Amino acid sequence: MSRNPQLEAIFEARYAWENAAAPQRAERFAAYHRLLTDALVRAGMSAASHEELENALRDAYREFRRARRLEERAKLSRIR
Amino acid sequence: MAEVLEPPHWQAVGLVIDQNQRDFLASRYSLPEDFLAWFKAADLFRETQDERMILREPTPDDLRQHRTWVASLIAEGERLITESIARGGLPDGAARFKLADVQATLEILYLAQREWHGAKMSEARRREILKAVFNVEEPAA
Repeated sequence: MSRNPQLEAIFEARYAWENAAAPQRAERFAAYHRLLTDALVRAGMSAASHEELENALRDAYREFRRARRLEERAKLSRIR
Repeated sequence: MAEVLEPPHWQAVGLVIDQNQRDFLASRYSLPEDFLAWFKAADLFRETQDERMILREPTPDDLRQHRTWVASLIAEGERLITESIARGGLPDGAARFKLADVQATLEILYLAQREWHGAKMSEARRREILKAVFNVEEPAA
């Protein structure tokens, strides 16, 4: 999927939330949801839910997450 | 010889969850310690999900195991929150995390459950949302 900065920011925020240490998770969760709200409001789609937006982004986020994990694995193998 | 790290398996996830449940029921540890054990089980679950379902194509057995353990972790997290509320919350200074952090971890699990086992959106609706919100268009499949 072609990307735009807003989409990238949402994926980064979700990844940060999911991978945060436990004491940071509430804060990261709120930051991620703020971005979802902003995106929907900016598009004039306030009636759509966060869940619906996440559903639409499901496959693209899996691609993003896969790429991130492969990058991290490559970094780790260079260190070892 | 290169070090080969064996990826985590669902069996390990299940064993940790089962042990945590036994410890909780036996009141073997304090509530903050039960929460910490749950956080670690959730992290192991997510790591296994990545290894077996993100970095490769999930098999039917992966999906079955995932469905089982995500439901179990959600139930356990909710139970710990209920127990904590019944005791008047976490004691001050007893933990570095707050109940809101537990709730935010539960949301990760609920999202994983919806995304892997919930209803899939129609292709037309998906395209409509992506176009409206991000101005992203994909070629028709």
